[in-house]
Amino acid sequence: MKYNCKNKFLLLILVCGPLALKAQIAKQGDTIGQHAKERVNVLYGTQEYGRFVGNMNVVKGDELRTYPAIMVQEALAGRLPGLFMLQNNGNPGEDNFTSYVRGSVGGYITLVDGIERPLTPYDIEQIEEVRLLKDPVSKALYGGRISNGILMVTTKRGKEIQKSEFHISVQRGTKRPTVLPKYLNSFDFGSYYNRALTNDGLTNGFYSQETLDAYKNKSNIYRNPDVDYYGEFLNKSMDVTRVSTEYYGGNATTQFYVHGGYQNEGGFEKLASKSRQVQAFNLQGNVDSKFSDAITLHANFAGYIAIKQYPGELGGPILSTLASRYPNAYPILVGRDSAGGTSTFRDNPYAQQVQRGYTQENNVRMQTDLGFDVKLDKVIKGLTFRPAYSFDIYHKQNLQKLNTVGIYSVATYRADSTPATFNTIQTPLKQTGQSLGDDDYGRRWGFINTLAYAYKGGFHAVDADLVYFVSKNVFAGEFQDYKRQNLGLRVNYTFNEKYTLEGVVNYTASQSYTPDNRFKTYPAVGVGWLVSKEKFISNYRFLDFLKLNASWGIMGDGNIGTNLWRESWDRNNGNYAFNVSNVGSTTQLTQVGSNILDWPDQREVDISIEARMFKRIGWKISYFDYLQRDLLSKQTNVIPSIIGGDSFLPQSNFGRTGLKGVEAEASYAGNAGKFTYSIGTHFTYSKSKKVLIDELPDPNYSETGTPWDAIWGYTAAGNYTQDEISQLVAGTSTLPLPSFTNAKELKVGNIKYTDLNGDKIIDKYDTRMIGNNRPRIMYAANLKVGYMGFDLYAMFLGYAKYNSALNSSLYQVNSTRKYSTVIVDGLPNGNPYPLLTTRTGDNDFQSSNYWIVNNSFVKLQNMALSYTLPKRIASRLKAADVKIFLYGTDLFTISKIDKSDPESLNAGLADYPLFKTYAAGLTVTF
Amino acid sequence: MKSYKYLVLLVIICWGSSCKKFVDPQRDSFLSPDYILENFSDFRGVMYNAYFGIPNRISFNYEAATDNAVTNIDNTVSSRAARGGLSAQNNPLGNNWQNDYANINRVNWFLDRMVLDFSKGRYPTPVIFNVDSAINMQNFFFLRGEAYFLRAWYQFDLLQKYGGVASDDKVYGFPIVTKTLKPGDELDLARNTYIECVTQIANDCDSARKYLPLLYSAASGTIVQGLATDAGHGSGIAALALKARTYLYAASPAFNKTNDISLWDKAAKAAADAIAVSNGATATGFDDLLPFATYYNKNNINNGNYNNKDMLFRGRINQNVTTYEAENFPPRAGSGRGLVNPSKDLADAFPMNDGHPRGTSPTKPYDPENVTVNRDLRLDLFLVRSGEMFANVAINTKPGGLDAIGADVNATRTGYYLQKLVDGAVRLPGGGTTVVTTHAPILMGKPELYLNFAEAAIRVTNNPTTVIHGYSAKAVLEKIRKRALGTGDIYLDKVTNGPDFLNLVLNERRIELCFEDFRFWDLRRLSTGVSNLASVNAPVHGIYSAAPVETRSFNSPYMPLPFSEMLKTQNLVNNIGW
Repeated sequence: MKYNCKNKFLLLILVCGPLALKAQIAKQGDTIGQHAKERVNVLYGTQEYGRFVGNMNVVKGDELRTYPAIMVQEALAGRLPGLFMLQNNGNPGEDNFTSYVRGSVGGYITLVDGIERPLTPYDIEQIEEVRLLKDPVSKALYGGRISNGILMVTTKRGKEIQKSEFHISVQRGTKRPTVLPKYLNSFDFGSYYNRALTNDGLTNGFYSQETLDAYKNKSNIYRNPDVDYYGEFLNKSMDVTRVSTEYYGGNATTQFYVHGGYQNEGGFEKLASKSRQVQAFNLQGNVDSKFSDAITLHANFAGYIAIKQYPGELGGPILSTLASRYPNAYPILVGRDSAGGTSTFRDNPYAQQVQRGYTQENNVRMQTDLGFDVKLDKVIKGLTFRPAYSFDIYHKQNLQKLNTVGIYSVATYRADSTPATFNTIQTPLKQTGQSLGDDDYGRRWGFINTLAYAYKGGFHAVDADLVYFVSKNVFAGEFQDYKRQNLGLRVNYTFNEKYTLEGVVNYTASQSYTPDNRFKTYPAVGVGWLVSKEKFISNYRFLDFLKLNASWGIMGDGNIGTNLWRESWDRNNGNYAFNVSNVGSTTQLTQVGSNILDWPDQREVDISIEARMFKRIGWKISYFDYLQRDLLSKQTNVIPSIIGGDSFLPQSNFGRTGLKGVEAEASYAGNAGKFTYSIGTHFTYSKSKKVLIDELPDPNYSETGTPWDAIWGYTAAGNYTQDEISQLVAGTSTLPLPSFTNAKELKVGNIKYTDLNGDKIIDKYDTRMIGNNRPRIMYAANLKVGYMGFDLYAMFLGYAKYNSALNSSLYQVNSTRKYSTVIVDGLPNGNPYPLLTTRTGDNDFQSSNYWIVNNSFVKLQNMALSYTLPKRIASRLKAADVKIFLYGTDLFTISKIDKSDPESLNAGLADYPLFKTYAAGLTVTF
Repeated sequence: MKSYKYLVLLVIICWGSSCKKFVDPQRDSFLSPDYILENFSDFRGVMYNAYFGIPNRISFNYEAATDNAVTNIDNTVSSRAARGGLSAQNNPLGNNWQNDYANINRVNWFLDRMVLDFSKGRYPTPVIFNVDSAINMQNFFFLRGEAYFLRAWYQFDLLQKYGGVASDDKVYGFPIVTKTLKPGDELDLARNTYIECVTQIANDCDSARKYLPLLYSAASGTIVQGLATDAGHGSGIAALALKARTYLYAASPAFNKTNDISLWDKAAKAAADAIAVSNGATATGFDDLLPFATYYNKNNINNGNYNNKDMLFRGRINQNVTTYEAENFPPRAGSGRGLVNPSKDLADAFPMNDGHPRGTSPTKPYDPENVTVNRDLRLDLFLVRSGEMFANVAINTKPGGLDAIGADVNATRTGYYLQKLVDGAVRLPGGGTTVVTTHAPILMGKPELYLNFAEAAIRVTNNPTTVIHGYSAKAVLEKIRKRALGTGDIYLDKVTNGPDFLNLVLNERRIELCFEDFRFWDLRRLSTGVSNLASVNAPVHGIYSAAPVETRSFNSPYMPLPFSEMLKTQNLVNNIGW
């Protein structure tokens, strides 16, 4: 490992090391990580951590509470090693994340209470823990699916406590954009536009000096408008609120938990009476009750109601108008409540926010889980049967009331240059009725039967689970359901508490293959060695825990399109009109059948070593290697097109994709007097590889062996001079000819590119990998300090080995795009903005390293300061515990990029920008 | 013993829910292959689907890569190809290989199933097309004929786009495929020889001619009689015209390396055969051409009727469109892009209105300032010149004029705008009321047929007046010139020797068929090889300067095979030059 971040990691270890030696022995319970005897959740059961052979990480719900947001995903960023979570935009209540586990190829599966459910409807306050399973053995029982990880979310349940507790938590905050795109005002725009016209050699369309002066003096806002779109139509901030009440308790036989939550976010539009807003209500209740020694009932219900409101159409008046309209395009208001515009531009944001009407989206989601634990000790000692049934329903509908807005332009002016008469470009029409838009519905049921056997005696410990899983998802307007069926056997055997062997065999079914191929068996096996239990090591007293885990497995993918193996046709392929009176319907072969189509699979290896020492230091290092095999492909670039191409080719098992990487984590906890503190850090590096892809067998160009996140492009090599262009045009130049533009179109100052293969032509063969568009490295560090009732939490999150092509409308201001300040200040990678043009700019806007920027960044992702009231004051308030909080998210960023938020270069252009949050809160437990 | 009850319950639950049938796919919207063979319109639709590959407009891309025209921006596919961008790796003009074979494969799938099985009794057809057994059979043969025609059409497209001489000096066409290709079949097929391909296309044309009605001219009757309401389907006359075109290519110097006169004779005969029946099997087909105003009229497109007998095959009808107009109107006429600019070279090729080549008439002087004075009617009809009123705009392309180069990014580079096929009555958005039009591309017409005959006949006879296969070259060419020059043509009689007459025919072909996608391919088939590229690479001139507007640098009269196919296969040989 030769990466910077490793150095950072080493540094941390070095800093922590001496601290560790100086520190006092921590109190019991302050140690970090999981104990060997602690039972941790695994798929469909629990296991002692010392007997766990895989690789997992966990974050407790209480820790996520420090993040004042309404999306669980936001709070998860940086909390779990290997979970990359980049937010694409700040749209309230929308699941807009670029998120993956360990690497950007291969997905992950989110299970909520053991079932694949979306995370969005859950309130952070409902979460008991989020556990990320990453190795092949612990993921194996979720058969028929391949994934890099399973994000296992568990919601809260009651607990056995003496006195039931009532817990209230209130958070309220304000969210401010981290960065908003900045654009030139009318005067600057006009001046630069003139420059662009000059560059293009054009003679028409220039802004006259009088016009420019008018922009500058703002002498006439009707004739010469100068609109600051972001400033005029967006507030400086919006609000976020989260309120949660919980009541829980229980005795030895029955425990219960009740939760009610309310969340609200929105209000960013300045003028809208119904601004974009999300309101969500959560209600959850569950009971675990022991009927008899043999039977325990688990019942859980969770409901979610969300109302999303948008001014205008669904999604609201998107920011793209603000990001694309020239400041002088039209005056916003040409008269009282009369929106300006032109026949091309009828999207006046004033009209969109104020006059367009509104849309409301109603969401309902309900989760029901019912299960039993039936102890069958009388049949076989240690045998338990756990049937569990679950049922979810989901409904979403949009209601709209959309007016046609009036758009006017000024026809004539009075002497004082105020509008006198108007042209009506669009006649207003008030909508009188409501209309139903998208109406979506879904339901799912699932049945999980687990037959668990546990035995412990002498040197031997055995756990065996036979799990039968069956589920069905039903979708609106679709006969074809999504069905899963899997029978899995997991056997864990530990000898002498030290050596563990765990194997999983899955017999899994898929509806997506030929009848002969619908059932498949997949294995996974892992070993664990609890080294710290060994005699020879127990002399080293500082070593509390040392464990080596290794696992290997193959997972099959049953989750492909249902009919890919079947020959199928489409009779609605369109009609061929021979003439007005003679129209023939046509039929198209849409899928060639294949009876040899087989399951793609993923071969995985995961090796980890984990240690804890001095009761206060913990670390873990992991290596992983995934290989997806037999991926589906039509091999269109390999099979001769004489067969007719794509539509005449069946799906086949062809591609291979690899992903390898390492993870490291370290933590340290200690105290000095009344000071308690802890530091945790983790680091993930991975790289993908196109091992086998469908590509032309071109000896001079191949992407095989390169990473999937590669950005391909030319290499910029300075700028053209007039002499060079003249020679190119005359054909006497030694420079290579660009294939994408005519030499005659080149202008002095255009970007030159390197002819990598020396064939005197700049084409595809001169491209190379100029960057990678996904972060290869994620690292995070958190710090907790406690003193006399005060607690401070801070979490830094960074992504590195990460490039982006600056190709959004903010950075590539060609053609009719709005002029951003980038053209004045240059690109964030230090390159000056290339020759300004009003054309498409065939030469300069090719993908090249001129536009590549190092997108690495570090953020202070989350910070929370709390004060716990002394018990005596709290008790005077009849409360057991009172805490006051101050929260912050995304407080500052270190990055080369300052014109956008480096977490999402497109945020704020079409969608909401990313936000930083300042919030205050109070929790009271009675 | 209570626990045993649970165990029994457990076994029942597991057994009950682990049904293998559970993961069988449910009913869905997919159409399985057996359905296709049950319903005649689904089954027929497989073949009809191949009609979508017939061009629904004339593409000017090829024309603008010849000496007839340029595009007003030099980054178009035409311009890039013509200026050296056509390479073994990259064909800016596009490749038809995959689409042609996709359509051939559709037709082959259909033909493989279009066999009669008399064991089925009254309905021996693969599906029942009609409950009346006689009409059922008529439908069967009609559809079979169409399938053969479509296969011939796409095979000819392959022959035209890819036929050529390889480095072994043999003339190749394309790999002939007459059975449905399936995954797993041998797909690395070698090219057949050019003449094998010609024979295959001719055979398919003959089959189509056998099964299809000759013309869709009957107002009523049965489908075998050729109903006007079937206009737009492939027809017998279309098959014959395609065959004539195919033989003309086979006889042309680029592919007829030994100058085998018998090939010209076949070409002349194929054209004569088509001419003879072009007005119906019992009428004489050799008559005057319809006036331009009738032939190119947007309402005379055999749209469910038979009002343009000179139109032998057309593509789809596009109604309420401004396809050519938005593309080619001068920029001042609405928002025209002025894309295709006819060259001065083309304008100069039009004769004077007494038939003499430009500037050689003793009585009709040529005026460079008013190029249409004393000129062939077609010049004014096909080109928009300076001084003309077109699309409600008084065109001025003289240097410094409002429509001249430099006045607008979309202004002409040659001094001419395109008028042929472009409807001057259209009004584009951006000024007043929008007026739209109807277009249907004439893909095969009688003028081409006459010119095909004249070219082939003079090659055989070397004497304009010698009659072969029923007509003389002169008599046929006269029909073409008569439409443009009326009775004033005093020049035709003066051309009496074979080579001069051939040149006259070829010039006539250039101007008569300009902008109908002939020139590019004619220049190529008339070249004798890679050392004979003068006319393929003739520079293109405008009115503004003596220097060429664009030069042409093609390496070969033959087109390269698709680069991707060359990489994927071992058995394909490329044409020379690439």
